Amino acid sequence: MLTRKIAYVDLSPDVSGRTETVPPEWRRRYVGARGVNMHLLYSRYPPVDPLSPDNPLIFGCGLLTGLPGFGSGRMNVTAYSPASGNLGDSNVGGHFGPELRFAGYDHLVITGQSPRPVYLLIQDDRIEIRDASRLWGQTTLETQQMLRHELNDDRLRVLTIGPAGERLVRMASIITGPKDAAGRFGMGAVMGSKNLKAVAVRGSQDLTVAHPRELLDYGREQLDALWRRKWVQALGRQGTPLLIAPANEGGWLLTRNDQAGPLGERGRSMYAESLEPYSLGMASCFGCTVHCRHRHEIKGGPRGEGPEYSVFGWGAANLDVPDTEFVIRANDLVNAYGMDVMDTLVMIGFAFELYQRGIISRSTAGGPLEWGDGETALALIHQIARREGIGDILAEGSYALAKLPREAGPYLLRVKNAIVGPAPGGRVVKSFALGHSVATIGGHLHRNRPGIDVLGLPPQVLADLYEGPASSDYRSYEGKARMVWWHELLYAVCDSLGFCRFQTVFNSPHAPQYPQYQRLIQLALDWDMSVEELREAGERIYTTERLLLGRLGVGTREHDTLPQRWLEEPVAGGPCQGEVIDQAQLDRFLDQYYALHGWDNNGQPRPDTVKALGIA
Amino acid sequence: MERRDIQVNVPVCTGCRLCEIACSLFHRGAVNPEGARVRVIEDWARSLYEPHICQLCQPTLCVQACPLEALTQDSASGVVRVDPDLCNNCGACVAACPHGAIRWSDALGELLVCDRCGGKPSCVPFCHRGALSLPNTSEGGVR
Repeated sequence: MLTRKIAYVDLSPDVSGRTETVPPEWRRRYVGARGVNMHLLYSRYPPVDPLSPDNPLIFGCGLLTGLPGFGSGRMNVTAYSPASGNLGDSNVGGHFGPELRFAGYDHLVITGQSPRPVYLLIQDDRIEIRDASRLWGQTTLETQQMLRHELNDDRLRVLTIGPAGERLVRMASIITGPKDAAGRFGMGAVMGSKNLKAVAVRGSQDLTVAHPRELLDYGREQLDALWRRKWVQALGRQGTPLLIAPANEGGWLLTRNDQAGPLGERGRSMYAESLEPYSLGMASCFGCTVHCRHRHEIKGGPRGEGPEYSVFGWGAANLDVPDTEFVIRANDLVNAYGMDVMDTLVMIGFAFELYQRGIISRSTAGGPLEWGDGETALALIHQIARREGIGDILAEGSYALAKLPREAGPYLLRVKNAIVGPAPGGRVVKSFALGHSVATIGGHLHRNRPGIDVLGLPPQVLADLYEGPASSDYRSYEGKARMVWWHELLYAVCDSLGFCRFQTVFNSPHAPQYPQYQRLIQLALDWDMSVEELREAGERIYTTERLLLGRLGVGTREHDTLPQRWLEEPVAGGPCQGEVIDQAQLDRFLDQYYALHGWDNNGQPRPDTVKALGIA
Repeated sequence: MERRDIQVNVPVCTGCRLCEIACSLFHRGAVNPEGARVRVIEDWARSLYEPHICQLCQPTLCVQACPLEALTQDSASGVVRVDPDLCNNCGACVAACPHGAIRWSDALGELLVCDRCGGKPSCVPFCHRGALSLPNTSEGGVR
């Protein structure tokens, strides 16, 4: 635990790899996972074409990944993104991260390009590049099963791409297990561009800790306390689909690519309870006591895991198909091909709107694309993954705009060229929307979403938590800059420790956060890291990401904006009809937000801030 | 040490492997599932996670199968003890166990079987779903 390693692997012929101990000061200053990945990217790898051999694909485990804690199965995959052309970073759960640590490594940096399909096999200290020609073309689960069978090891952990990553579909994901995904920002396309089908790992080394018995006791006490929480019990029973009802009834789960209002009564057919006939029970990532993932079966069909709220939101609500069986089928198909559920479903909704507006013809579309037609949506998933027909255009994600009529542009909702789509809450929950404008990976909820903003908590609870006033009304702009900033620092630390978002202040103001992290770090490493030092690490990580955006040419105020639809078209119906983002309020938010980070009025980190944080 | 039965309820296991974490921390002072005496096996096709842990059988098939008398069963607790000096990894006990609960680790060079942590199993309290429970004791039923 006290000494951890980075392995550098180059897949190009005749280039040898090497290993390096993670410098202790990096761990102390950037914590691990996302933080150390970002430091590696910033300090060693200038921006390059994301699909070129020089783009480093960085896998990073958290400082506490694999230990008793708050959902410690997680890790980050980081690279320049072929989906947005900017910064790519995707957090993934399951069991791979801990296994990589048991093999002795905290980070893998993969560069180069193999002339033929290969996979990487890591068995403790031994790392081999192996032929993957027979795996090429296989789905994500088949690949994992084939590798387990061939290596005669039912404990092998694999991160793999599916056929979509092989074909450089820009929203290709990396999958481990039946559905855990490094889903966003095209990390699977980066693997495909390197001819890297999979990374398989098996470790048998002790992850030593400073105070094992105390860690066992503290871990048990904390997990017991967590398990008693109502929100944990609910999440452990219904999974993330529990959010559908409040989002629909609150009026912020909208339909038809954000053109129309919420589903209203029709949405009831896809509330969390609708999964019960399909659910076989729950599943979880390594070391997690929340167990938020369904195991499912469509009668007579294959079994699988999921689906999550995202597939209901970006799929069922967005496409106007409030049908749970459709959601399960879409979930399984997208994961089998290895694509991001959000981006894939957003591209399908985008195509539906282009067809509705006559921007693409029936012949370009290959047939009618009608809202509410789930079968056509499923057919488009196949076409995107196989790059067939219009699927070949949609597979380009944001870059599809270059192949479409000019007037298509505004209907693909993006921030910093990353697809946002009809993200729930977009115009209604102001902290969610404003968070999208500044997220360092383009519009994505997990950089800064103050999930608790929709709970209507007493103002004093918010003021105590955020050390400053914030409105309890989710439609208000007041105090939301502080809220977004506060969550950015916490989530940067949470990711870098290897912990789960759902077990920190996302669903509840009383969830574990800095004080519990501080104690776990002390028990695991014997480090006394104060809450202030942890928060400063969060700021260092976030500011490093902002500096990376600067290098990529999107790190200034003009890029901190939102889709035109959110700024110009009020919500068309439901309880939040008329809500829209006010540009003057967005500007005011940015002023406050930049000041909290110590960035200048144009959104660039001030030299004194960079110096004080010691970023180099 | 008195007998501590651990009841296994497969359908509710979520595969979190906190049992493996707790077991290895207790026995090794480090997290290392390879060295855990409880093990969760996944079956993706059936969408099941199956915990395997010693059931303190009587008669004890693993003990009977051992040609070198490296295994003995403690009469009071039912726990199977391994004498590492006598064990030569012949695999007879592993083949004989109907629960898949005794295992040789090539990587660690150890025969691994649950010893109930000396009377207070570390894994069970971490299993909030009740896939592992202590049915006969006040502290241990399904929670």
